Amino acid sequence: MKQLRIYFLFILSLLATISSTIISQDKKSTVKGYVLDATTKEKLSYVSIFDSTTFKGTSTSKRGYFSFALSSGAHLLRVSLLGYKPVTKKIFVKHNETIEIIFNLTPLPIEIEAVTIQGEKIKKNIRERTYDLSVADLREIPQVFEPDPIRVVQALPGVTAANDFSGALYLRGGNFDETMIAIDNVPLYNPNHLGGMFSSVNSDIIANEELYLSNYPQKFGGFLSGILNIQTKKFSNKFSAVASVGISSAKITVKTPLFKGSLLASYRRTYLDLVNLFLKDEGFPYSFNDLFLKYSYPLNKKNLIEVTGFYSQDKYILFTRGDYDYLDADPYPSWGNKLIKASFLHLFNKNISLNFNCFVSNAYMNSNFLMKRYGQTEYANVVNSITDITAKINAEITFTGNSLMLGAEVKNLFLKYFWDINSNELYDLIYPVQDVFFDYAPNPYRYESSENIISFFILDQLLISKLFSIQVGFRSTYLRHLNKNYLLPSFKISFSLSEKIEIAFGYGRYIQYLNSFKERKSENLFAPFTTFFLPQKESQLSKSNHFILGVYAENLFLNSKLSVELYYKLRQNLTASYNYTPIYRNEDGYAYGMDILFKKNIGKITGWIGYSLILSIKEGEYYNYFTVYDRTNNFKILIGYQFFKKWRINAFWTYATGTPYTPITGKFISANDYSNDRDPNIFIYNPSLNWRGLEGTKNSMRLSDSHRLDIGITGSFIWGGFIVKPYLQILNVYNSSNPYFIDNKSFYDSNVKNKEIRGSTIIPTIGVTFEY
Amino acid sequence: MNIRIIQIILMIALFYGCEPITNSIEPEKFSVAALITNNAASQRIQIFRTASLNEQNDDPNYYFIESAKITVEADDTSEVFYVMVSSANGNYYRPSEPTEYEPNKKYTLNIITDFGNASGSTTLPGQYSITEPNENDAYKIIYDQYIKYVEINLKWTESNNSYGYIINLSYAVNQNGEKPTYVTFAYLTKKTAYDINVQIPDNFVFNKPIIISIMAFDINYYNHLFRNISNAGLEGAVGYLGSAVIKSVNVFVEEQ
Repeated sequence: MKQLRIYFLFILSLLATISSTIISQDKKSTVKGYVLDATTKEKLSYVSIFDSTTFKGTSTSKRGYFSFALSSGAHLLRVSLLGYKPVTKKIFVKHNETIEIIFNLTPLPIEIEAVTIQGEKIKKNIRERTYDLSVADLREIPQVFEPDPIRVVQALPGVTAANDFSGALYLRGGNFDETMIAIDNVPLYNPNHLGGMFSSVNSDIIANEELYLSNYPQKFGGFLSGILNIQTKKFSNKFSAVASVGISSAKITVKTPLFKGSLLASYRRTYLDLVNLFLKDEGFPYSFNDLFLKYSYPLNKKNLIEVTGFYSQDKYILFTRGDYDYLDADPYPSWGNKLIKASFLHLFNKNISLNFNCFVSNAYMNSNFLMKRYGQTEYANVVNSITDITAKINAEITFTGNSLMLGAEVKNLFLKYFWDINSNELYDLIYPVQDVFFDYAPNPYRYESSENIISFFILDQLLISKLFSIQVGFRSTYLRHLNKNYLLPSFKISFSLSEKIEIAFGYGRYIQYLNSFKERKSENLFAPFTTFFLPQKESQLSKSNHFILGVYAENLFLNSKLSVELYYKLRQNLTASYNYTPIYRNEDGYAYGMDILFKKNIGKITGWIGYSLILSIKEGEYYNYFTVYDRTNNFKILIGYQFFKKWRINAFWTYATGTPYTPITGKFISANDYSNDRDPNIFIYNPSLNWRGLEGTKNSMRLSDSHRLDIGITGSFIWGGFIVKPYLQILNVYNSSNPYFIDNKSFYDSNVKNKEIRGSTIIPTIGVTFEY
Repeated sequence: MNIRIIQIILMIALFYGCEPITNSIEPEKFSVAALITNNAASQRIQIFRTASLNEQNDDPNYYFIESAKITVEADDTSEVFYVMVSSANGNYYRPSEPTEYEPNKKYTLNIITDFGNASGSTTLPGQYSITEPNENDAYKIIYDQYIKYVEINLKWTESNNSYGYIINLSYAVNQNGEKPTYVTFAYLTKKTAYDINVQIPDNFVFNKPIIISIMAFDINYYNHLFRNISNAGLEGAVGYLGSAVIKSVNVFVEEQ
């Protein structure tokens, strides 16, 4: 009760802080106005207006309007939009004065870089996705060890995490495998290092991220919940370099002109294995590294070729200690991604472009460990591979009030899994160890499957009038193995109630042909490789209908943005695993909820307050139950305060309802494993009897709620020609002991119980980035 | 206007937040550990009542159900009745007559107790034979830098209907001049060949054989013992109804 009171006071104090800021902002001067296209006089939306004097900024609304508060005095405003020539204007405002300005931006001549941007101009007039994340957002949200482009998304409403350290994304009541995590539109099937503590993608290569929590446009497909598409930096003729040193890793990113083209190269590596050597094998014998290369070569003003390569690898060095008679541990167990992509972009004219790309995205895990000790052989043979070979062509046609995208995609998926593990040392870590691959996985195990998927899509975005816009999409997907074609429509209608308020309603139908069998929580802590499986029959293909209703308000007060989205997802053939025969089933379900985000971008104090209501239910054989990823109530508050012009202190507080688990309600005696102490003359004469937990109703209990406060300080200064950006982050400042999972594996003695494993701790992180 | 929007949002939140989940399922009242094999001497079924989390008595006989009626039937309707055997090492049920179950044959188990009824079925794995080594083969010790061992290359024919094999290897060792005791190692595989390096300790008893047993087992046995599936091949009770076909071979180590 006392704790509750403290939290209540804490929330009150946060609200009070925001309120005081609101009041103080009212007393300042204001600059407002419109940004227009200099040739057509159309109002331009999402134009950046940045004050170089105070480092404050805003962007224009859908109607091209902007307004933000300034202190009195001289200011240098820079107005920019991709595809237009930037404008810089010096202004002087008096105390409590409001001045109006109209900026006219001149379109740039057609360039390769602007090809995609021409399409974006129309697209951005229609509210397509709920949230966009910039590179600045990555730095502002305190995170574990270093800025992380995937984990950062967990700070937004509608996105939940399994625990404080898991990088898996659960979007609006969907499982983690229902979200496509992509880099430049190429799916990554193993997007994390160290079982989710780090993402495989280095934040320094990122231009921006697009996140669809649900109702994603039909240019994407194959995932039931949503999309996180990480877009890397684009072609540029300027040289730049970024080097970062953090508590756990170092990384360097270079962007440089090369042979008339542009190269973006980035490499990152951890020190954990080196620290382990220093500690004489008393540390954590683990390392990861990742390499990203992208070469962009403009053939001429209308044609661009790009080649992208990405490689990530985790290594865990088994058994560096102890006695053994014979050891063959080369190669060490390793896992990661390999990706190569080639793309060709052709610009017919200002409004029509054609993009062809093909890629191979592979996730792998290999282990060939063998050790003999005390007459026993221990081994871990693992060869897992998911390979996605895709060729895709799409055209974008843009004309007044209309943006049309057409495309076709041929995808080949190859899945190969094999493991044969017999290792007491691994069993000590996780038992059964093969459960990291999927729930109740057999051992040894072999699986091979493939699928050809052919898709066509069309996506049209129309501005019917100034108040009314519509987006219509249609995707046709043929699965060769099932010999069936699926027609997947979607639409979204937006209507402006006023200059500041807009409502939208949308519908979309989606299928998912790659599913994992992971529902249990304990394995989410460390999953080096998640296995996906293809449906063998129609009843195993997951399907979902998404309905969404949103209200969006901009600048209702204090240059803030408010978005409220209600959603309902009708889901079919979801995978489910049980502790009894048959182990795997496909079940229907539904998820619904509401996401609220109040965001303030302008002023010394910025940030957001987010709330999510998420209810996710499956219809089991005997009863309905909450899914393990149901987190009913989620609060996320981010507050940033700017000081000394270029320094910020950010505080992020999050609260989430505990996730459901299946409780142990009793115990029973049964045979348990073959034992070494039986009479050899009668093979099974004296099976060892052990206690096991008797599981109750599925997911009928919940872990304790979790909450924590993270604080980060970021800043920048110039030193020796470099921009130096140090950061200090402290995670879980008040040392909240948040739960991870329920440990039910204590079935070797009669002391069976529901043991909640907790373990969050205060994690300080320090690092510095050098930019040139 | 703004307040009205907030009011509507709050009302929807309240309405949304009321998800009626009414779920309950009756937990199982007893557990079964049943493995039926082609070995008449090893037939054994144990039935225990389930316990609450607070019960701390670790003696299995405290939970043993004594009044169960057990029958096993095959496709051709032959029926085997089980009788209870009291044992200090754990009470169990065995067939009223020594019974060997036939490979490749499906058997159905029915159990009636005061705690409820359970049933299940299993198909015994198919017949197979050990091809290497031969009975009473002798192995010479290999001396390595640090250890001495014999290398036994096991091979057997495939047993259809089996999910995998457990290899059980035992040899006798002297314990301070007392009666020799057996040391046992076990290996799990899905293949039909297995190479084992058997380390020969200093107290190895050379005049007693190394006993190698191979057990071809069904998926129920595997699911319960190795995948933690609470009820495998059974309905109405937790536990398992498994089946196995067991083969053995004895080999010797030559003393040098």
